[in-house]
Amino acid sequence: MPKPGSSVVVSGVLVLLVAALSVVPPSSSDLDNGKQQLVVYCAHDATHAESVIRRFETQTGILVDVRFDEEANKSLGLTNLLIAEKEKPRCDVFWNNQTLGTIRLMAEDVLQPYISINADRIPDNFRNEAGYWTGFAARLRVYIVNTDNMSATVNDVAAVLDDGSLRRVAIAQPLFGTTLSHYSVLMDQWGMERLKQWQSSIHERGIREVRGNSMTKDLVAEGVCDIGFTDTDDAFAAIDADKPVDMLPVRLESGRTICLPNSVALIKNCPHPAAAKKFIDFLLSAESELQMANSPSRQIPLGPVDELQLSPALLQLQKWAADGVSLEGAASVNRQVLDWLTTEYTGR
Amino acid sequence: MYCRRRLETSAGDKPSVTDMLWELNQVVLVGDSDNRIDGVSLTIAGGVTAVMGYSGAGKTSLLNLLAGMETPSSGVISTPLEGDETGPGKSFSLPLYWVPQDGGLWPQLTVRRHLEVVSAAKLRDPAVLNEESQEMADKLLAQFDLTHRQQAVPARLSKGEQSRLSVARALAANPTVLLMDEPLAHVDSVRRPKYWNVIREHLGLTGASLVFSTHEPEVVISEAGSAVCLNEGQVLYTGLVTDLYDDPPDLQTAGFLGPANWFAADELPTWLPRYPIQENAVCLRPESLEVRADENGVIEILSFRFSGSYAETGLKHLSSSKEIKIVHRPAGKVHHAGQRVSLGNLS
Amino acid sequence: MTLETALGWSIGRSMLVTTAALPLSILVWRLISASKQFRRIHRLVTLAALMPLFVPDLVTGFTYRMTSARLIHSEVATEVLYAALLLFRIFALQVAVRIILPSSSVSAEALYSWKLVKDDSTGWWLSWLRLHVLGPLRTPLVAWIGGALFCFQEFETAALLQIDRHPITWSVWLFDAHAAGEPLAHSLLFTSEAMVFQVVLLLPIILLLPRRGPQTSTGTRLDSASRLSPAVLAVAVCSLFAVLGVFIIWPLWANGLEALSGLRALADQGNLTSRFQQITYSILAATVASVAALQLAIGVRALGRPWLTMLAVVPGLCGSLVISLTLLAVFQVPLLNAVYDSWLPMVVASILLMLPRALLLVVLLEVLSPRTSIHSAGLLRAAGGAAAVHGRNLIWQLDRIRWLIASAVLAHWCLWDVAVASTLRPVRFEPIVVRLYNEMHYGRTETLVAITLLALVIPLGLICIAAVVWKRLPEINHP
Repeated sequence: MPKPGSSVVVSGVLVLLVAALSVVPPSSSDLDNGKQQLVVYCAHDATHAESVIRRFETQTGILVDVRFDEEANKSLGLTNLLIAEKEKPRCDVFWNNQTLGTIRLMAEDVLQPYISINADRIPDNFRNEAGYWTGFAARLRVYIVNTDNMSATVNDVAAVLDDGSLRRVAIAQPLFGTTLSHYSVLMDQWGMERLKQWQSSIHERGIREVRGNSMTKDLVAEGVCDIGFTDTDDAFAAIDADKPVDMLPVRLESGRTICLPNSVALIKNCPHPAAAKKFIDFLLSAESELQMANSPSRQIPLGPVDELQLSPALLQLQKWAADGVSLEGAASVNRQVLDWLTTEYTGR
Repeated sequence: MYCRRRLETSAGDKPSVTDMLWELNQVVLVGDSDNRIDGVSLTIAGGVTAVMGYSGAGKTSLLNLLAGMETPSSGVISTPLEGDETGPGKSFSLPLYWVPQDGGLWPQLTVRRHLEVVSAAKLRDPAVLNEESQEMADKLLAQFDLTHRQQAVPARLSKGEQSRLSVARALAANPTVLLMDEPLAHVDSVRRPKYWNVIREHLGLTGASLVFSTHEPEVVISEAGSAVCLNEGQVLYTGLVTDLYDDPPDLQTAGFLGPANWFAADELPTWLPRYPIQENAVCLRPESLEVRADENGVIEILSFRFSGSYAETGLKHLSSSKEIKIVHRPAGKVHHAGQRVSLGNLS
Repeated sequence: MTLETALGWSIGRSMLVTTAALPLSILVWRLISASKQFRRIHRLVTLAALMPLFVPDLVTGFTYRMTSARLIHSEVATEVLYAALLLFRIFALQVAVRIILPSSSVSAEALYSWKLVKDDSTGWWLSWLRLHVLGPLRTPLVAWIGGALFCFQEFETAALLQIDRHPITWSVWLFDAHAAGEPLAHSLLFTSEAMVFQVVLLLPIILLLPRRGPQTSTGTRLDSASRLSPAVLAVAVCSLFAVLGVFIIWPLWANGLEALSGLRALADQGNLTSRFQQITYSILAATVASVAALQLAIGVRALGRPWLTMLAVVPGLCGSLVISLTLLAVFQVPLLNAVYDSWLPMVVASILLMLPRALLLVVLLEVLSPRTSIHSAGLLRAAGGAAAVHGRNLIWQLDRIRWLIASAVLAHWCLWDVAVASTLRPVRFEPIVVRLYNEMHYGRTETLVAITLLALVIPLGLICIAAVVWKRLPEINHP
C-alpha cells in the first residue's frame, strides 16, 4: 500500500505532469515544419465534416483541430462554449449546422465580419449583409412517415396532424437543435400566443416528445410512431438503412418550407485569422457544397453547383429548399422562444 | 537499594547472535492524539528480550518500528541486522521475521502452505519443495497441534489456531531475530507452556534472538533474559529481567513482574526487625516473605485473602498501630483475622 | 415541470429502488459467502454480482434505448424499465458495500449486555438505537444509502431512455435547464437543492465508515451463511442470472454480431489507427486521473478528519455536469487560462468526480489487504532463494494486484464518463467516449459497437501489460 504521507505529493506531481505535457502542443513537430494551424468548432455531423476538413488540409497544408458539437454535450453546446471563451478565444471558425445559434453569437459580440470571396454564390437571404455569418449547404425540416402504417401524402399527414390523437406522432424536445429553430419560425409566423396554443394543443392530443431528431427518426422507422418531425439528414439515414419511411417537407401556412442552412463565421480576436478566412472561403465554394450534397447527410447546396452531379432526390430537395422561409424574423425571436420554453420545461 | 535475588534460572541467558540488535535514539512515533512512542532511546541486545507494559503503553508500536512496518516520525533506529548470515547455505534464512498481534496471516494460503512458503528460503527453485521443507512443515504442524487443520485457510481457523500458526510460521522462517507481539495470546493457558517449549527449543538449536511483548510476568521470568518496560510511550526500565525482579527501581516497575512488597528504609525495623539496616527502600517478592504464627508476635492479622499462588494479608503493628498489606506465599498454613504473627525473610 | 417535481420523482425512485434492491443483495451476499469454500465458484459469483458496476452506461443505454422507445405509449412502463436497470446496478453496489465494510465492532454479546441493563429511559433507547446502527444495521444502512445516492445521481441512462419526459430525474432536468441557457450560477443553485438530500444521506455514511487503523489480517468475514435454504439459493441464483442477462448477455446478443462488420468498416474507412490512438490517449488521461484520485483518497483517509472526507466527496456528489461547468468557468480566469486548452481541466474534473469512489476503494483495500499480512510477506524478500520469490508473489497478490485493479476500475469509470470529457477536453483531443456518443447519435451502430469493443478490450490488454511490468518492478513502498 502506498504510504499515505506521500499520496498528496504523488497526485500533485501527476496533475502537474499532465499540465506540463498538455501545454506543449502535440503537433509541435508539424509546427516546427512551418505548417499553419486552425481551430474549428463544428456542429455538423462529425463523420461527414471530417472528410471535408481533410480535403481542406490536403489542399492547403493547414492543420485543422476540430471540436465537434457532441450529442453528449448539448448542455454546453458550441454556442455556449464560444460565449464562455469570448474573452480569450481558442476557436478561429465556427461551422454551425444551422443559422439561429450563429446569429445569437453575433448579438453576443463573439463574431467578426468577413465577406468571403465565395459569399456572393449564396443567395442574400441565407447570409448576413455585413459578413458576420454566411449560410451554405442546408437541411429541411420534414415529416418522416412510416409507409407501412400510412401513406406519405400531404393530405394523409395533414389529416393526422390537424385533428384527433397525436399519440403516434413524435417530435424532439424543442429546447435545442433544429426543433428550437422550427419553433422560432412558427413564432415568427404566428406570434407567441398562437404558438403557445399550438404547443398546448399538440400535448393535449398526446404528441410523443423525445430527446432528439435521431430518436424521432428511430421511432418512425421502427413503426412505433407513424409520423415524426425531423430533418432531411435523419430521414435519409433511415431511408439508407432500408427502413419503410418516406418524407415530406414541413410547410408553413404560407406554403414556405423551413430550410436550415449550415453557417460559417469568423471568431473575433481569433488566434489564426488568415487560415480561418481560407477555410471559410473553402467551405463556401461550390466543391464543398457538392461534396456535402453527395455525403450520406444530403446537404442541399444553396449556391450554384454542377447539377449533373446531384442525385434526383437532391434535386427534389433543392426545389423544396427554394421555397424556404426567411430566417431573419425567426432569429430575432429565437431568444424569446427559448425563454418561454425554458419556463415551460423547467418551471423557472 | 538492596533486594534479594530469587531468580535462579532463565532461558534468556543464551549466547547472543550479536551484541546489539537495535539501537534507538530519541525515537518518536506520532499517534492520533498523543505520541505512541515518545522520545525513546534504547539498545536491544541479542538473546531473549521481553517488552512489557500495560495496554496502550506502546508495545505494539515499538515492535512495529523494530519490524520496519512503521517508520519513526523522528529519531533514528539503527540495526546491524542484514542478510550476511542468511540465505541458502547459511545457518539462518532471514535477518528478521515476526509474529504481529493479529497474526499477519495470508488469507489465500492454507495452514500448511504458510509454513512451506517461508521455509523455502534455502531452496533455489520456488516451484520445487524439498523433503527438508516438508519435514519441517510436518514437524511444526505437529508441535503446534495444527496437523488436522493443515488444509484450512486462516479465515476458517479459531483465534487460538491463528496465533499458533503465526508463531509456527515465524519459526519455519528461521530468522536471525524473531519479533513476536503477544505471541500465543489467544491460546489456552494449559497448552501455552507447551508451545513456549517449542519456541525455546528452536532458539536453543538455532541461536536465534527473540524480542517479544507480553502482559504475563511468568512468561517473562521463564523465557526472557532482558526486559524493556514501557509506559505511555516512554521507557520505564531497560535491563536484565533478574534485576527487574530482584532490584526494581520502584514499586510501579516492580509490578511488571508480578506482586511485590515495598518497604521504606525507615519502616523495615518495624516490620522486619532482624533484617539488616538499609539506606534505601527494599523490594521483597512474595516468596521472600514469611508470615509465621507467633503468639508473642507484635503484629496482628487484620485480613487474609488466599489466591492460589500467594496470599494478600493485612497487618497491624500493635505498638505503633501502623498498618500494611503484604503479599506472600502462605506455605499451606491458613491464617485468620486477629491472629498474632511475626514476619520473616526467607532469603 | 419544476425542479422540485423532478427532485420528488428522483428521491421517491431512489428510495423505492434501493429498498427493493436491499433484500436481493443480502441474498446474493449470502450466496457469495457460502461459496467461499469453492474458490473458483466464489470468484465467479462475486464477479457476476459486481458486473453491472463496470458495464458502461452508454452500452446499457444504447441497448435499451429502443426498448424504451417501444414503450412510448406507457409512461409507467418507461419508468419501470429505468427502475429495473437501476435496481440491478444498485444491487451490485450494495453487494460491493458488503464486501467493503468490515464486520461490525458491536457484537451480539454487546447488544445483549445492553439489553440486560434496560431501564426504559429515553437515554437507554437512544443508546440501543445507536448500538444497532453501529452494529447489525450498519452494513444494510450504508448499502441502502449508497444505493439511494447512486440512483439519485444517475444521469446518462435516464437521458438515453427518456421519452415524453419519463423517466423524470432531476439530473436530466438540470441538463435541460443548462442547455436552455440557464447561467452557471443558477445551475449551481439548483444543484444545491439536490445536494441537501445527498448530504443528509451522506453524513451517516461518513460517520459509519470504519476509522483507518490496524486491520485484522484474517477477519471474521465468514458469516453464518454457510448453509443456504433452497429458496434463498434459487432467488440468489436467479437474480445473478437476471443481472448477467440484462447487462452482459443481451447487450452482447443484440450488438455483438455488428462488432465484426464495424471493425471492417473502420478499417475500410482508414479510421482504425486513429481510433486506437484516441482510445490510448483517453486511457492515459483516465489513468492519470484515477491514480491521482486514489492517492488523494489515501491522503484523506490517513488524515482521518470527517470534515475533510466530506470536503473531498462533495464535488463528486454534484455530478459530472456541475463539476464540468464549474471548472469550465474556473479555467476561464486569466490566471488559469493558459492551461484551459489542455488536458488539465479534464483530468482535474475526473479526479474530483472519482474522489468519492476512490475513497470507498481505499477503504476496501484497507480491509482486504491488512498491512501486517503484507509486511509478513515483505520480510521474506530478504531471504533470497525461493522464499523471496514467494514473498514477492504474496505481495503481488495481497497488495499490488489489488491497487492495480482499483486503479483500473477508477480509470474505467473515468474513461466512460461523457460529461467531463465532452465539456473540458482540449480541442486537439477527442476522448473516445465522445466519439461513441456521436456515433450513436448518427445511428452508426456497427462502428459504435466496434469502437465500444475496442474501448473495452484495449484497456484489458493494457492492464495485463501493466500487471506483468509491475509484478517485475522492485519494491519501493515497503521498508
